[in-house]
Amino acid sequence: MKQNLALTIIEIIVFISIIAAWIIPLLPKLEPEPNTGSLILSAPGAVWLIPVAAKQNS
Amino acid sequence: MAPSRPYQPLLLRLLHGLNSIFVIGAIITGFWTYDTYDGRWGRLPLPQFKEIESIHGTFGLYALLLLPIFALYAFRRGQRRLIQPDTLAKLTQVGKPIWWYTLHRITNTVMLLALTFAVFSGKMMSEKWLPQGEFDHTWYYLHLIAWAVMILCISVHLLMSARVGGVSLLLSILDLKFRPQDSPALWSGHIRNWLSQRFKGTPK
Repeated sequence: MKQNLALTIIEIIVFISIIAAWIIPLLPKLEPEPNTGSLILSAPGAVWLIPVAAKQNS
Repeated sequence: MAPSRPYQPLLLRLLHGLNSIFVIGAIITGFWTYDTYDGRWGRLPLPQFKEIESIHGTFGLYALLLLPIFALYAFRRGQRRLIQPDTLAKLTQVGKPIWWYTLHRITNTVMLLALTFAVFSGKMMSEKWLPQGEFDHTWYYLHLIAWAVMILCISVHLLMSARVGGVSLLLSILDLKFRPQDSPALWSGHIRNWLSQRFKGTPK
C-alpha cells in the first residue's frame, strides 16, 4: 500500500492535540496579581506568590 | 434479487454511535450555554439554565475521552474511509462516482480534524469565564468557531453519505445486527494479533 503521508500528518496532529489538551491545562501559569503587581504562579491545586523577596525589599 | 445492503463493522458502529451521541449532545448544550450566558449573535427563547455549562463540559469530556480510541480505529482499520494518496488525482474526475466518493473521504477526514479542534479549544477554556461575563478570551472565540465548523461538517458528512450510498448507507451505521466474524468475542484475539504484528514484526 502506498504511503499515505497526508493522513499520517493528520494523525500526528490529532494525537498531539489530544495529549496537549490534557497536559496544557495542568501547566503552571504566570498571572499578575491585581493589587500588588506580583506575579502569581498558579497551577491546578497550587498557587504561589513568586516575588516575595522583591516585595520585602520595596 | 434484493439489492445488497452496505455493511459497517460492529466496532465502527459502536464508536461512531457513541461519538455521535457525545458530539450532538455537546453541540446542543453548547448552544444552550451560549444562549444562557452570551447571546451576542442572537438568542433563542430557551430557559436560562446555569448548570447547562457543566452538562456541556461533560459531553465534551466524554467526546475527548473517546476520541483517541475512535481516531485509532479511523486511522488504522478505517483508513480506506479517509483521504488516500491519490485523492488529488481523483478530484479531477468531476461528477464521476469516484469524485463523490473522494469528497466523502475528504469530509470524513475533515470531521476528525474539526472534532479535534472542538475538544481541544473547549479544554483550553475555563468554566469560570462565562459565569463571570468574561467573553473576550481567544479560546472562547475559537471554541465558538469550532461549534459552527462542527455543524457545517456534520451537515456535509450526512449529505455526502446520502449522495454516495443513499438512505441504505445512512441506515447501515444504525444497524444492530453483525456478522459472526465481526463478533465482539473475537476482538481480544484481533487485538493480540495486531499487537504481535506491531511489536514482534511477524504474526504468530
